[in-house]
Amino acid sequence: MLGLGDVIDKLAEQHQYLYVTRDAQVFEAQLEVLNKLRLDVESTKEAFIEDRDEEKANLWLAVEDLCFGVILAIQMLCDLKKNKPASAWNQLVAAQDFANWSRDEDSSLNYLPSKLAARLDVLETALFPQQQLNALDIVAKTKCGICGLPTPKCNHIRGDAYMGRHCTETVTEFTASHAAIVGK
Amino acid sequence: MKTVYKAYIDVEHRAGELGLAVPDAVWILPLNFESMESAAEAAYATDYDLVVKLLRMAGLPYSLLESADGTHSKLIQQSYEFAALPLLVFTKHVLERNPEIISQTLRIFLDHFQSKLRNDPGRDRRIVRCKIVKAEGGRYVSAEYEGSIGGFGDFIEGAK
Repeated sequence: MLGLGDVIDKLAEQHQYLYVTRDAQVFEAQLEVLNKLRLDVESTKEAFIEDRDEEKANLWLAVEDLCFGVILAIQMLCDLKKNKPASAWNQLVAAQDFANWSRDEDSSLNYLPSKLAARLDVLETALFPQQQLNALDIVAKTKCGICGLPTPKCNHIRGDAYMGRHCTETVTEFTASHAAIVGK
Repeated sequence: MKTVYKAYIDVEHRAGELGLAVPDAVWILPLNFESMESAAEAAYATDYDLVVKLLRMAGLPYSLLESADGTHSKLIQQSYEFAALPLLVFTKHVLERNPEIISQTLRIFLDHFQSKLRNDPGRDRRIVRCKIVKAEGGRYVSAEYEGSIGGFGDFIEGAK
């Protein structure tokens, strides 16, 4: 089982790689290191889930989210190096989601999630044109990712952690009537 | 941030037109309650489910319009929004029974927002949209807020 301090130190080191001027090979080497670390973090989280220790399972879920955030951030820079801007944008958005999810445990993680989120905001502003999704009107039937009940029948809150898992809302049926996308 | 106060339609009359019974509880309604021609046209704000869950967990009485299978129309929030709440109606009878019900209800949301954003350095930029309708002196008025979490407490004070 991993020690939290060691993992935090390893993830903190990764911030030095979040610069677009790094070589693609450097990014790929770090991705290999991080993907191994992420698997170890997942195993640690699963051990706490097995022990029914929700507090620690959720803490390690936050560590796992932070790993994903850093991995996706580096993958985004790597994609830009390979002239894949659309894929890079998707990696950035996903990295921001993971950094934000991880932030609930911020003080336990030496404030790395906030630092990562701030770094990603800077990279978004510097590297991509401003984009804005205005509105999407849908008729949806959704279910809870934790218990499977139709929302809002259960008490699980979307985005919150429950025994090492995030509550997500899964759309099971939908029809879209219109979308408005505005770019600047 | 801003709060806009306006006269609102007669809720009881409107409910009658739609064939709905006015409940004896906080009524969680679609944003287009004023204009929809039937309950099938109801379009809810993004955080409709969240509002229902928070009120249920807090044990506050509420009533819904949605179909039994949980299907409902949602207007996905604009990218700058943190939360978009459905229309909340407080009838005269509900307010007479519990004069604090508006602030009790809105404080549940404020506590939730503050908890979710406690570690977010950009929380001052997160926008909340909330519209309530309340009975006041024999008529209905609406109070619509669009602004930061920080200003939501002032909205509660003004709206109650």
